[in-house]
Amino acid sequence: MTSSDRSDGMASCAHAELIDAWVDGAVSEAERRSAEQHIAECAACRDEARALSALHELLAAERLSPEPLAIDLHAPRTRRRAGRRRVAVAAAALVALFGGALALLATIAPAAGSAASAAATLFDFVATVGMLGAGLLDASWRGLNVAMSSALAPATPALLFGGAAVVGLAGLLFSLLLRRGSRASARQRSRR
Amino acid sequence: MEATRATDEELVAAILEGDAALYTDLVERYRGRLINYLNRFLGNAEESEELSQEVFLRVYRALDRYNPKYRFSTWLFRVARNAAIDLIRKRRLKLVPMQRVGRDGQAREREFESEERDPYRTLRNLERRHAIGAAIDGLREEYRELIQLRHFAEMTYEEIAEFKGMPLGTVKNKLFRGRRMLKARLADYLTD
Repeated sequence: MTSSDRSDGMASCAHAELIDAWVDGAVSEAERRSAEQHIAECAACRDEARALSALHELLAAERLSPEPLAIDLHAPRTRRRAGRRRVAVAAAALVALFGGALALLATIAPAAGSAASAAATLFDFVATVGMLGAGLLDASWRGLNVAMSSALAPATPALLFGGAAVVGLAGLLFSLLLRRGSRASARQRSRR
Repeated sequence: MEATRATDEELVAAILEGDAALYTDLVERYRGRLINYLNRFLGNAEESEELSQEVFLRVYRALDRYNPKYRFSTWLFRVARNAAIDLIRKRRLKLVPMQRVGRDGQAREREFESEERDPYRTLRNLERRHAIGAAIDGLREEYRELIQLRHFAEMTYEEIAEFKGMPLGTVKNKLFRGRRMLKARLADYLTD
């Protein structure tokens, strides 16, 4: 302890510790009354209380005030959920495509006459859907027109209708998937 | 559960029952205090903020081992103190010099970033900060730690008593003595 640590006029006052705790707001109701009564009578303790308040302010001014920030404990779980959702939607799209193809095959088979020609028709259908998909992905009306005119020319009205329905369904599922994906990433961005 | 009124211990119980989102309330409750407490050890706001996040995550992962016999704050600040000590130990291996060599070959004090535009005020703030730091660091360990816990971690006297395993009266007395020493050492800054 240095000499400056001991040089304190207040040390002689029996109420020094009480005044210190009072300034710090760490007193009971009875202690508060006692401290306030003493302060009213003792000039040295009033000065001491003022100096202690200034010390409190000085130390408080040194405290940092960080911006509010919540740790995002849900982020990994949300990412896992989003991942699971994507897989589920993709699986649903595949099932819809496969189911659509089977339904179409069942419609076409009697008209085609045999299983072999039905399979050939189905192959045509898959190629058509693939080319349509390529056309859609290219997002070019021109590409789509070329794909439609080259691939759909020999197709029956039933094939056209079924293909369009399946592609429409796949497109709808795909856009839903994209929208959910972008919403999930926007939510994650806003949390950050 | 209304998170704003719940005690820390009630929040922990609710989190352990599955309401993980409530942990963000605990984080918000203690983040500022924890950063300030760590900053007194580390002397670097950015590092203190990063470490506080690590401490919160460590505590979250170990929440099922929390002993409700003690206050949550006692446990949190213990984890923080240990984390700070570990970091300081690691940091000793790669000390950052407080002085840098200027173009003229002279050693100069490393400057800290400040948003203050007025050079006179910047200098005065810097001097005051150094004086407060030196005054606190110059206290004996038994006083220094209590001053840090009270004025930077903003613990109540009861929390400090539990944290340090000391009687409440001893906490009051040590804080009184510690502040008396600080007041004498920082007398020049208490009249501003």
